[in-house]
Amino acid sequence: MTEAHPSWLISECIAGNEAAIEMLVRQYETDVFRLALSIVGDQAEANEITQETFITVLRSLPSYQEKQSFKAWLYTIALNHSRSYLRKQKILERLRTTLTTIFQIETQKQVSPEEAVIQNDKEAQIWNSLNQLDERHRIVVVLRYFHELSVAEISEILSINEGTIHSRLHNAREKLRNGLKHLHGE
Amino acid sequence: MQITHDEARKLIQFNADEALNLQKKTALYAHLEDCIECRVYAEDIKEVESRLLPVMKRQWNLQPVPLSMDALTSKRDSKIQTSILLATRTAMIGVVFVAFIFSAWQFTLSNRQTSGQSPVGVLPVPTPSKQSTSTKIMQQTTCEEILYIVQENDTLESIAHQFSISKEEIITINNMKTETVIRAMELIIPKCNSTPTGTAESPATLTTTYTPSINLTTFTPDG
Repeated sequence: MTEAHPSWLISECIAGNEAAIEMLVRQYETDVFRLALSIVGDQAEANEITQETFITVLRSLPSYQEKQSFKAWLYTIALNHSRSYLRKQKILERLRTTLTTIFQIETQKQVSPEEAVIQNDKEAQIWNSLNQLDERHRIVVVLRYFHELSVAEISEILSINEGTIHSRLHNAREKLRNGLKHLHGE
Repeated sequence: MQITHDEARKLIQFNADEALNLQKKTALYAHLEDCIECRVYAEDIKEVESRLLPVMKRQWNLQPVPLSMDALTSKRDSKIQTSILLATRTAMIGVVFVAFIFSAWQFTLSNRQTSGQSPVGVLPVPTPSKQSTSTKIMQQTTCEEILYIVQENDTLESIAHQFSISKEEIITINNMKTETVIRAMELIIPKCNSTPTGTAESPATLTTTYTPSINLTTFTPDG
């Protein structure tokens, strides 16, 4: 979030300059896509969320406040879309389990996203531990380590105070560490 | 500055978040120099951090499908269209609702009518029954008994033929024991208009014709 955004680009986008809009989209689409992918874990869904995010961004650009970091604002929108997808998934999952228990039928489980080959045991362990974290802890870890954001930036994106971010990171790291220790112990 | 193990662990965590000032950093490093346990902990945290990034990158450092600018702008502009769509949907739901209420109202209305009285203008059942009763009445009114006085040369067959009925009917209705008829004998003839063959006269004229006092006065003196 250190990169400065030219405010003229945003005003051009608001004015409806197609070239400026394309420039803005091309500049940030990979970041938004990777953010969505790291939260939802599914490429097709991440592409969908990226598109939805930019539609929202283009619509709400006039209401964007300059005092806020543009990237933080963009990430907030992308995160909101990703989380609403996760909520839908949760509801579907609950429905699926309910159906399964009521009718004793095997409903089709969603195919898990293709995972890149895990290099070794330790990587596999840390990957599993990461996925076992609850959503709140997982998001801060992803933002901190994958998107390499500072605690202050995460706090701005999530609208949560820095102390809470610190404690969530602390707890998450403890759990990840315990996962690795468990591997060492065996 | 002396710190405890717990404090050291906290500082290690804060250090991972790059949230330590110089003074605290110095205190932490001084503690780590002496404490193997905390040093191991710090190394563990470092390992977690160093392992996280490559595994995440391997999983997520993918390139997105480049967004189609046309789709983006058209969808952005479809905001107005969505509001129109919403209005249309609301209107349609309204129409369906009103239609439903109306039909429900009609249904209850017709129910009340059928339970109370038969609907006006439609006579599904009564029509055939009325027809049948009317024909019955006609038969009843036209069927009458004629008093016939037997004339000279009359036989049961000829009388039966004259009134187009069977002689058995005459026998039954008059409770006759034999088939012979004699002159001036009174016979009851069942006469229905539905079978008016042979005679063209109406039953009224028949009675007057066949019960003339002349015949009686002419022949009774002989008998």
